[in-house]
Amino acid sequence: MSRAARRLRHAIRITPPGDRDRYADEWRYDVSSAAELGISPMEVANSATRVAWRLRVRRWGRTLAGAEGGGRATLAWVSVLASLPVLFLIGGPLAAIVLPAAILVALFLVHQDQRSSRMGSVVLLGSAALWLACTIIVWWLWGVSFDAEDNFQPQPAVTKWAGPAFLVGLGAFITFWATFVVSVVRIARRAEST
Amino acid sequence: MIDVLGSLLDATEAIWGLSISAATGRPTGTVYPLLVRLEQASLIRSAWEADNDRPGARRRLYSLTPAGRDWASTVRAAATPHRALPAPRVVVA
Repeated sequence: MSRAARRLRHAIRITPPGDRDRYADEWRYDVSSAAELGISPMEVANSATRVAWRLRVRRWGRTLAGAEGGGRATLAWVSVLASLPVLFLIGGPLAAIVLPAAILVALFLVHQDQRSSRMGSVVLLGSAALWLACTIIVWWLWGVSFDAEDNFQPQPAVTKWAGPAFLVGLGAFITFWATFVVSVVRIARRAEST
Repeated sequence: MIDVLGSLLDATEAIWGLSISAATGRPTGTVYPLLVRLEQASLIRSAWEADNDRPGARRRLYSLTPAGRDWASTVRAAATPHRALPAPRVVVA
């Protein structure tokens, strides 16, 4: 088996099972005929791998957004949440980026689904921005508070806003995920009814 | 993208993805993802070749949908640079 054929077999394995019938034969034909058109078979196999990854990521996105059904969406999100303690054990910074990354993915997914309501997207984006802003403010105020204590200084007046900022951030965080869950359930219901 | 759309616009019948790459000189790494995106946006459609004298794998042929043809024509027209006006001839008496 040639290198290009081996690379192509790898690309087909990456392709989601539901898309393999659509792409596998096309890529096999193209790899076998590329040389006749003066194109490197290896280049075609590499391009197939790129498309395979694109399809795989799209499928993950559709699953997380509920377009593949409610059961799969639940399983996917449970897997994301279950990965948090594992990532925390492997390395703390990895766990810290999972939640903001999940929020970015959620925003992207709801934006991608053209059937989702505009109001839902606005609430999602607004609550994500508010949560991020409050988190930054709380971290900054905690830092100010610790610095004052370390220097045996009285707490600056601004630190009294740490509590309210935390509560607003918590509210925004809950609003974000509640809105996202509602969006996913709606997308999943539509997908299951069609 | 313009030359890939041009290939699809100028073709009188459905064309093979690899032939677009050969005709435009664009690598398949550019052409394949573009075809996937255009198909997902319903701007092109694809079908297996009806008559295939080779055993085994089949060739996939692409063509613009009516909406895709309108869109591609607009995009190509917008991208085509306006022909420069000829420089005025200066006649020195």
